[in-house]
Amino acid sequence: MDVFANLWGGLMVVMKFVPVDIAPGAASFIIPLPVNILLCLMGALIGTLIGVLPGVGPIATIAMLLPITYKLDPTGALIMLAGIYYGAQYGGSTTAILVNIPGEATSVVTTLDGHQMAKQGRAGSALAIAALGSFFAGCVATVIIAVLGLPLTALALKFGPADYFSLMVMGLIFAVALARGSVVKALAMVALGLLLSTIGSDLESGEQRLTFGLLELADGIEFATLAMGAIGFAEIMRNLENPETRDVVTGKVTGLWPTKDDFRQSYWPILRGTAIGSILGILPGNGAVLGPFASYTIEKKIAKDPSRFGRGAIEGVAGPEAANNAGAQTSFIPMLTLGIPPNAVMAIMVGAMTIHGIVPGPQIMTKQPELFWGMIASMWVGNLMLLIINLPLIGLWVKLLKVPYRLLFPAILLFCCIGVYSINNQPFDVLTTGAFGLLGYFLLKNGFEPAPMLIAFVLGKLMEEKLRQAMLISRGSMWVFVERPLSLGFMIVAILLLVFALLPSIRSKRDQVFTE
Amino acid sequence: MAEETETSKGMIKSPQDFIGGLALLAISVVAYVAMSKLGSMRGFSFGAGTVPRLFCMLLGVLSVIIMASSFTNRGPKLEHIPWRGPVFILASVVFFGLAIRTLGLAITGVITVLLSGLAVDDFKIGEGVIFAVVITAFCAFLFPFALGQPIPLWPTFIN
Repeated sequence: MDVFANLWGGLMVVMKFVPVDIAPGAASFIIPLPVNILLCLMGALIGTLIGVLPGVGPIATIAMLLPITYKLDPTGALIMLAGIYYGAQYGGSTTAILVNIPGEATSVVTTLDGHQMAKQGRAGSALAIAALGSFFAGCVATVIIAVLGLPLTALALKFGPADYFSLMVMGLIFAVALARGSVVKALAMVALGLLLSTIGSDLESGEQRLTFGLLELADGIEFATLAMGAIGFAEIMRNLENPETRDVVTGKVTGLWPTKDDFRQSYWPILRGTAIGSILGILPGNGAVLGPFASYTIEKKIAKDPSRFGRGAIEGVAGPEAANNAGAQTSFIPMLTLGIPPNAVMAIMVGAMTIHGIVPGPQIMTKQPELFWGMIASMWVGNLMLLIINLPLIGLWVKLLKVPYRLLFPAILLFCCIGVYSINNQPFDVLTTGAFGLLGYFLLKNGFEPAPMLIAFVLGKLMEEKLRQAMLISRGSMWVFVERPLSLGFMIVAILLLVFALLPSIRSKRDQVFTE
Repeated sequence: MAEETETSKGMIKSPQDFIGGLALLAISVVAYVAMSKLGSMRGFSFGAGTVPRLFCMLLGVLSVIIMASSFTNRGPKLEHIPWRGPVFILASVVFFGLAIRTLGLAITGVITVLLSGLAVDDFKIGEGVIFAVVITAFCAFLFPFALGQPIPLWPTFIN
């Protein structure tokens, strides 16, 4: 089996010993160290540490910790960043269960039953099942990435500019359909993101577009400034409005090992959650967010006694947590094989890869197989380490959760400022982040969700490039988008999705899913 | 969410949509004017301004639709904006951006943390100062020292 040979090769990359000079400068002291596995461990640990903090989601976590990876080689840096990402996911679930505050959108569902379980003194079981479910889902998702990687890359290499363009249109429509609230508002956010992406020098003529004479804008807006401002800072401002009601489960967390009954009840939900999450995660346009919601709804529907849900049903933790982690990992697929980030977290990853000189897309697998397979194998290793490390550390996380928000947010803010500044050593970037924070706050206050804007911003440049190429090849004929079968298929899906999202009956259903 | 939202009386039934749409329309108009000098289509090859203008028009049309629908669709009232939070948060970020090059992380960090701390009502000066110093010291150790980031640590006038 090629797949397993490749994964094995990746595992070797992760386990590789590299001679490292641990005391640079005066006395050279070179010893071989398994650098990649240490970076994976460090990433997962730091990711969990930051992810546990209430109100800090994976986007802010990765953006904040980006500077840590600057000095590493690309493989190590990506392994660490991936570790930070799923570490932050684990941390988010811990917060959801213990404090009833979802660290990020995808752990909202976990709060429902997870926190109830914690209140009933079953925090240990909830955390352990969440971790085991996530681990299982992570293992399956890793194999899925490995299996789908090759054929999708082969397919991607056949894509013409028109196909790429239509695929991205479809991705954006997905993002719109999955956004909360009004469809038209989400579309407007996409348009704003696309417009922001055009700022900077034109690719062909070098003309300055919308830079308003500012030299700092010649290279365009740095993605991290938009993400950190419109999501991170805006969230902080929003959090400050609501006086905190944090009910940390203070009783000692005991009985970490779930009972036999717990296992029996969570076995199927975990399998179903993994399947749902894996499929939704592959969709472009942030499908991963839907995974936990879908899994929870299904578990509730097929349960013998649905009234248990919301009162500490372990299935309501096991399924969504598995779906969450599966989706988080399979969302790497569109980015690694097609070069199209499906959500804001992957967009940050693309930014990180660019900093290290890697262009995401099908060529990664063919030209840098070590990096590709090393990163994928590291996900499995990282999940295993998280499972082993995290459970004993729960006591520490509980302590961390007791730090009041009035002390937390200034620290988060300073970290963000330093993180943004370090990207280009540009004070200007810090100021832009502030401006985007204001914009994001204004948008949130008026019921506009910034997430579609971020995805559109990331895809914007690529879309323009592909559109221009496609039109040049077709000599100005718009028909190229319907003449190519792949492109036509993507366009049809996009249009159907948009129509469905706009239909009133579906809209009310969709709102139901989100409020549940 | 829909059950608990209040709706407003008068002509505009959804003030949030109206204000939001208006702001987006303003952005698209300003952007469109700022793009006036960019090259446009030459034959079937796109100019520098073609795609930005397309995106701009898309935003403009959508914001007009949002504004128009605010006269017919009922929506929530404008939310109350407590100025204290956003003002101090933004002030601290702007301060960091303006000061980091000249004052260095040691001083900028402490002031940034203190300034942002003022965003909440229950700010305590003693606790705030100690915390600001500790956090800044930690960052000063982590970023310029341990990670070797080229962030200035001390004010320029010291060196």
